[in-house]
Amino acid sequence: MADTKLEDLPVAALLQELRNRESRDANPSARLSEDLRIFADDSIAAALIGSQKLIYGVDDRADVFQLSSGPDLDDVDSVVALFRAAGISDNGDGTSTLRTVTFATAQNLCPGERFREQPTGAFCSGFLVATDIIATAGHCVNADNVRDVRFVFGFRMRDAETAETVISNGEIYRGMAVVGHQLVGNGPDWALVRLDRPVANHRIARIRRAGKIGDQQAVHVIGHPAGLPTKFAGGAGVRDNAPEAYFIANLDSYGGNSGSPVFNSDTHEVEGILVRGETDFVRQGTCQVSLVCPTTGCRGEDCTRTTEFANLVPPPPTS
Amino acid sequence: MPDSAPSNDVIGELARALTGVADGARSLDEIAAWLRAQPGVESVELADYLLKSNPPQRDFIVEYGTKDGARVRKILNVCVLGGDKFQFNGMRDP
Repeated sequence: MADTKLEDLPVAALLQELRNRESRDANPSARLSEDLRIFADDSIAAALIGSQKLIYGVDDRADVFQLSSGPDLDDVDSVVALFRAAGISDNGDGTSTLRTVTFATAQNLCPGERFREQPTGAFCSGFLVATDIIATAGHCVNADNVRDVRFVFGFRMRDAETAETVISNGEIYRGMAVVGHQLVGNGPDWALVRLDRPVANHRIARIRRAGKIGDQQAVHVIGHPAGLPTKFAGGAGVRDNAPEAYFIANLDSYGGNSGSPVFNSDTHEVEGILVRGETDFVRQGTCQVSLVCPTTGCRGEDCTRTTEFANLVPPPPTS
Repeated sequence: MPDSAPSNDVIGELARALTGVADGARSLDEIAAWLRAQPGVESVELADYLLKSNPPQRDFIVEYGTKDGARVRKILNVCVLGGDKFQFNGMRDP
């Protein structure tokens, strides 16, 4: 079809073509489109992004300072950023500095990408589930690396221009031991980590302990996409509730969101841990742009159900 | 990252060699092609998901035959560093 116009093609077709091209050697069965053969990767990516912005135009991520007082902001309080020990420098005055680089530099981002001037450095996310226990993804922390991991409260934007990268040492915790861990290819993926001391000044997130989230339930995720300061992302819902160990939601997430709590937006109970999902970026010429997924076009984001590990988490104290 | 003990020398050798190969690879396709060319490897599949750490990780599901005729599946995990750079991150059971 010589007169194919990229902008006339469905978003899903463009996205599938890029994914097939990326994986065609690893997955020989992936079929490339004859109609799109004449187009270069960057042309397809540009059309894809343009179409997605036109049709969906939704990136629900928000900084913490943009949230109003209320339960959403309360949810943020239990969230931590995971850094390697080498990624934090003790200033000798009771504070430490997080070692970060600019998001634009780290990802070779094209102009116009959101948050491109913000610092990035966290390698995963997590949340407090007991006074001295953090829940995160199993592919983030394991018995071999747990003592090299630091759990940091408060890595967030103070305002539109200023990131909190100098952190009181009291807000930085060391990993001591893995209390529980599971990592199965396309199945459960979680870890529970005991900290070096109890956390007295942050909320313990409530987790679902039995049953399952409702189909199409509205959810939000809080964490560190691409290693950025804390982001809140709502406007999402459960897409597939059938898998036993996890559910699939259409959350806006990036690498670095692994370990993030996925909250039920009505009850503010944690339903899952974000662990897997769609490709984050696609190349556009010489730089990268976010792959903004259509509501039904991507594979969705997998969230390990909290019921997979709830038996290892002490119940919250009764008031 | 989590490792499981190789069930025999074949997969252990494969994992050790992959460290160097991943460091020099320019694409996931190149890594898949190398894996597929190794003796005993019967199939290589790149899992369709991205593990959402920073940097993100991809899983290759590799099936290979052992000398005693058994077939074994392992996951070989690679970090996607950006800028067409990769790093072998470990091996585990599926």
